[in-house]
Amino acid sequence: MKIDIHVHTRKVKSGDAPTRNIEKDRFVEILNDTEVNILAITNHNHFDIKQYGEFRDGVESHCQIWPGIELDVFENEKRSHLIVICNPKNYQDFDKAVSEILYKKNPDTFTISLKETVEKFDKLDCIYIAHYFVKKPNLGDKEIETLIELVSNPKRILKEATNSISAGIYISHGHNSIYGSDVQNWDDYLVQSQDLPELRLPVESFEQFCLLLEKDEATISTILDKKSKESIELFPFKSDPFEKIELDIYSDINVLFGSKGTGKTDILESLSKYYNSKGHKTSVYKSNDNHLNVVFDIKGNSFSCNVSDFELEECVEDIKFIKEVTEEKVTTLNKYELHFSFQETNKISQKLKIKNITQEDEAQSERILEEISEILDSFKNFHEYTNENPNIPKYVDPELITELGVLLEKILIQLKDGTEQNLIENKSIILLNGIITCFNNEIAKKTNQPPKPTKTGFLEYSRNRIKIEKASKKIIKIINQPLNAIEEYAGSLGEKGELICKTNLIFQNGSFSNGDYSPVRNVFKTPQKEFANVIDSISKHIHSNELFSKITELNDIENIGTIGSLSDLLLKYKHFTLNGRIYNPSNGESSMILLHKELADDKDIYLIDEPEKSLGNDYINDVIVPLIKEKALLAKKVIIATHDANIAVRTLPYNSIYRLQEEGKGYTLTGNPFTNSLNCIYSSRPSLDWKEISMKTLEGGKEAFGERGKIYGN
Amino acid sequence: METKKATIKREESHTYLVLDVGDNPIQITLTDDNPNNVKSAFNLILKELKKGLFEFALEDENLDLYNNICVEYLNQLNSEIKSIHAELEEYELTDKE
Repeated sequence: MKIDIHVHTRKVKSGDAPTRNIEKDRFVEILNDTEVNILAITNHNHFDIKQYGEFRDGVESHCQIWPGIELDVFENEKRSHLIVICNPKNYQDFDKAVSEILYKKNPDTFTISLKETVEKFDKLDCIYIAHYFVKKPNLGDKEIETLIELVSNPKRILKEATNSISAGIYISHGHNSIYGSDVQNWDDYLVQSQDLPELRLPVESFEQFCLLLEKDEATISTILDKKSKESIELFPFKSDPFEKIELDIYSDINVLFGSKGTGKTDILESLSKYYNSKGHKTSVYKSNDNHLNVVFDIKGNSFSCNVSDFELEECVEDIKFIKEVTEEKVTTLNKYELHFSFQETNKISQKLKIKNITQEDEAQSERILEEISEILDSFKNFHEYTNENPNIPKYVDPELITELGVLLEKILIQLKDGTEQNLIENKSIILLNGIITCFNNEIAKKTNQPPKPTKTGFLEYSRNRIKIEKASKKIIKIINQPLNAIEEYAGSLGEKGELICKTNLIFQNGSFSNGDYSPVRNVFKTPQKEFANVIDSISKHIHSNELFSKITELNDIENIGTIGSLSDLLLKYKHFTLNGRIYNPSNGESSMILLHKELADDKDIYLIDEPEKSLGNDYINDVIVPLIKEKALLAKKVIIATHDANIAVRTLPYNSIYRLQEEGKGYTLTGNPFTNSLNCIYSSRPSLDWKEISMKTLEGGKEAFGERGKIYGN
Repeated sequence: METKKATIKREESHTYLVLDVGDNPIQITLTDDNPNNVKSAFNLILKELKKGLFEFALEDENLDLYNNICVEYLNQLNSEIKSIHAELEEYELTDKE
């Protein structure tokens, strides 16, 4: 929620830029794209009630428009600018008052005294914002004193700074300060609006804003109560197990601060136990507990993956086959000689021509039968699926389902016929071969003639080699494929770039050598390499008599039993990369990334102990604080124990829990920056000033207050 | 389909079936029980089959025992060669030009 208390919508004075002019439609369009929820129209010596009404109605769903004016004040012989913003309820009276003071006056030359200004506007419930110091033309301290004396409520006077830094400086010196866009060119407003002050509390009205200026506790409580909170009772302290504390934990930022040894970590641990007992899964994030290398398992000790993760085959059966395969027998020609050299004298034998029939190949017809059977099974399953799934008619036209049914029936009949035919063919071949063998053997027994060989052996011999060739080539093809590295986002190193944890994977293909790589599985590197080399050699000896000596070589590899699939040939190398180059993050960078990772994880409850450890201010300010604020906007519970003012102050926590040890006794005080007080939860000691304690206790407290002006709420 | 020549080489000590495959003809001894000799021949036939299907035709005029043996042997071998060539094609293991 952003606020802009200084906006021009018209070129009024001759010195005004014409780019200050803006029409309603464009104004609405621009405002829709910004986070500005409160905007005061403050033209130079001018108020246009019609335009005010149009603009207000145009953006009423998401932005309050307050009526105002930037007056040329003439006081103590000095000209300066004073913004007067009026309660929108009184906009008509405001218009009247403006018309009266400007009657027959030229805005270029118009001036008004502070006295007259207050007389005209104070009764209309206004806020005064004076150009101050470097914001020219400015009111001096003397003129501001005069204004304070004149107005009914001095808390309604703010000093306008030029930017967040100067506003912060004024605030740290006790001046109520704010700044606005003072828009010169509406083309730049989208960008400009990003630097406008942010309202940490969701202000719903002009009145509420005014009460916030007065640090009205009831108003602040009302606003704070809109955020859900939970009252939790804890016995967190190891040093005093009986000390009970009651804390309100907001679905927002809750900061735990106090000197070292006051039990902040105990509170976080205890909160974690409490939330876990309620079914949440929380743990306290402790900076420096771990190094990034351990969290990302950079040594890869627990890394595991399978080649199937890359949609590649494991080749388990192929490897098993190659390891176990034996040579097929062949028929030598002298077996034929033995048969044919025997004089066939038996008359019956001579008549039995069946023994002369050549045997047919069974394997081929078996393959065809298997193929068609598989197709038939798949169609059967699909047919059953279309018949039995009750949900199909919900999404598919019943007519189409019927049509499909008819078609499937036809296909099934065709496939069944084909299967039957192939089955008959296959069985016929088996029977035929069986009969030929049987007759040959029986004739041989009766006649003493050696049986006629039924096959040369070429079929089985070659089929075996084809299978070896197929398996070895398949393995070689896969292990020579590159694998995509697995990349995991580690986190941001700010301006340096994004840190990526990269796991490089490669197959040992027999020629790969790189000491950085280690096997993914529990396998030694030597058998990996030797296995790949021998498989390659096998594939080159398919048509050689040495093939089976290569297979023996494979089985002789030491620890060959550890290689049973292609996953066993995988090698990995994990490392971090920054901008594409290998990078070793330092301890500080490790802390940065881990904290960023913790906050980037989507959780409901974040328990963080001293996130600032090992981190630079820039990283805390630029990366961590915005992340924490984002969690607050999403109504997450963020509970941070910290010594760092950047976190404890700049996030403007809804809840500050201060732990204090005094004379051996522990006290818990709670409060917030808006009321600027810290009250003891048991009222057993006086309240403390939030700002004073924060500045005293927190590291970098003064600087944080000095630069805090961008967030308006104190 | 290509037809390759097969002949019978009759010598005093041994008789061979000579298959005209590849650059050098293969000799299979008919009169010896030597599986390695047959395997070497099969290796060459298998390698040659990758180039395309062929069959052996016996060119021999003698109607003796060896002729009988070789006719029968080649008859069986040609049938098996055909089956293996079909498998080579199916598994895409043939030499593509």
